[in-house]
Amino acid sequence: MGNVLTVKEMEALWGGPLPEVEEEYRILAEGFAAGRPELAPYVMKKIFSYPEAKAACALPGTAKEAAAACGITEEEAEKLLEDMAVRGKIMKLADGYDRITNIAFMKDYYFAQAKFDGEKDRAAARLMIAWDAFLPGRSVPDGTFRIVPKWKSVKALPGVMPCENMPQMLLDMLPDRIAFARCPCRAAWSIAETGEYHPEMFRGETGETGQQKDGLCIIVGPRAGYFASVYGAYVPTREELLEKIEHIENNGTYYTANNGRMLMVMCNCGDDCGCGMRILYEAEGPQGFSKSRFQAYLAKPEQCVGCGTCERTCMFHASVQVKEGKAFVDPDRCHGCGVCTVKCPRQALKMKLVRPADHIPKMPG
Amino acid sequence: MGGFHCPLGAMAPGTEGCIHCGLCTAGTREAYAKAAEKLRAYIRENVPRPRRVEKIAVCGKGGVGKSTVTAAFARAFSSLGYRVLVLDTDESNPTLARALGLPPCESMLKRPDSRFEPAESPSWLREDLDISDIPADYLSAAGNLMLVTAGKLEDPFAGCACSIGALAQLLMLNLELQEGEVVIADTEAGVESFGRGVERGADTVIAVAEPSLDSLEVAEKVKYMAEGLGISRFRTILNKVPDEETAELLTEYLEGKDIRYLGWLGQEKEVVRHGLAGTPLDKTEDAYLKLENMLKLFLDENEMDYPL
Repeated sequence: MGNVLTVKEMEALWGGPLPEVEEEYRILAEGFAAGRPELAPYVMKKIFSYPEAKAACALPGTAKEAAAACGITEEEAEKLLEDMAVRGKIMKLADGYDRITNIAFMKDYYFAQAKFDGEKDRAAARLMIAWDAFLPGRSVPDGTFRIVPKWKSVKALPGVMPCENMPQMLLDMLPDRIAFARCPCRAAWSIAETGEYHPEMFRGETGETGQQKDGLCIIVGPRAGYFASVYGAYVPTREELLEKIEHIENNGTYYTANNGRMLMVMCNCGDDCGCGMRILYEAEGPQGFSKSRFQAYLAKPEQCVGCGTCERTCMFHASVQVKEGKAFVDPDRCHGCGVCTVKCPRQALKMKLVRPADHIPKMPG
Repeated sequence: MGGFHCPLGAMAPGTEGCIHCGLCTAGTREAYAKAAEKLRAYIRENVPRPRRVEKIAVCGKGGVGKSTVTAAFARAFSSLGYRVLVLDTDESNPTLARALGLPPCESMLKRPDSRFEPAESPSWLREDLDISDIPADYLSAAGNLMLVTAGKLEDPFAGCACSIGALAQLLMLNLELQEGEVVIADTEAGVESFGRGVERGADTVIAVAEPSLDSLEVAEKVKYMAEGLGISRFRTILNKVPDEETAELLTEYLEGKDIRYLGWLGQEKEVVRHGLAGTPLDKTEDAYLKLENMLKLFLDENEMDYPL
């Protein structure tokens, strides 16, 4: 993947000749310089109408301050800002509003909110995905995230650490530090393709998102409350969370989390991911992702019939393949997600512990 | 890093959870490193630590190898940098001191016979007891490895072992451990008395089991009873397993019962040899190394360090 977008590529993404961008869009794009600076103002232009951009430029501040800066009434400003906040374009704070100054935040919030503007958002999604393509490897240092194995695949093994018990970590977030949201990556992709959010739409075989309300995205930490109150993300009961966990434990996605001992962020990634992870696969391999401490192996060769389920479900560049009629795990490639182990219809694959405890840093960063 | 990826779960700079570390807005690697350092310092001070393992009760049927496991765990704890107090409550079995390589020590209860002298608790055995409050007379120690014996029945007519058990239980309950200190109690055999002895004060129960249905069922019962006492940390160690295939059968059995295990030992010749000679296992011997590895796995499960 190249590092520079040509004008032609940018025009293709934009859908025509590139227009002039007003100063406000450049201001809004200032904090987005980590990726493709030349593309960022165009992303902003797709997301914000001009009055919105003007009001957003007056932030941080209150509706009154924004009204004064834009020459509109306070009522108008309030309506404008509130609408932008629920659409994930700006942040609603206790004492006013603020801009989102990081494109990854922007993408997450914009596509995790519930209202979309059809064609306009479709173009924004396309641009955002293109922008995203240049992030990996540059903004995410190696080992920022870590693959967490399916709990089912390791729970009986000696030495499993609490930070490897995803179901328990999620349950510990109850009652107010957890919410089900739409997955911004999958939503961005769905909108880029169709102009609408289709929870049942998935590109691959792993997620089976269609079976689940609001897909597989689980928000943890203090932000869960914001997602619930502003975007209407769903706050599950214990039973609903258990049901969701049961579904995820058995599907083809794999857990990722911040690479530390305490859960701060988690994702359920798969081949139906919209942008970030999909792009990572298509590049040389998942960057910024540390392997789990486990590895799959063919524990019961006599039970393996070479059906190829493991090969089809593996998301890590064919780290498990059928060779001469039997599953073969490439230890260098295996990231220890446990999906093949869970998916094997003959229970021939198992996981083993291959890395010491200090593989997982005590502190993040 | 994205909004979903704020390590502290904040929505954006300045929102709930934000400590203004600057990780999310860092535009350069240097800024990122600086922000990460600030974040680390914050987390180091503010993240609650999981409840650490302090008091372990080793249980199982008579003869399954409780003393072997207790001694090896205690020695491994000690070599990993922990201060270890071994509590011997197995009043009929003098092997623990030998397996630890420590000289036998004077029993806390010199004359376990309540017929002639009421067994009063020694005055030092009070609440919030520190390991160093135990009188040196009752301890047998080498470095950071200590043994205390609750009592031994040497006279078959000496009456009941209950007073010994009560004393050991009191010690287990009253000890207030510092970080880096652990107590391992070698309990009485069998399942009949479970819940009445030292295990009441334990936060961890380790059941040693042989490859027999009886032994596995005992482990299962002990787990059930431990849960009833509020002890959720229950682990099994399999001993005298003839081969790998049997080990697999056994671990699958345990998996099916939702019983966690730490590992298995074979029919180790050196265990028998040292048992007969009354000497501790060599730290280079297979059985010791396997048990040391099990302890490390157990520490990992509880996010505990190896200080040395």
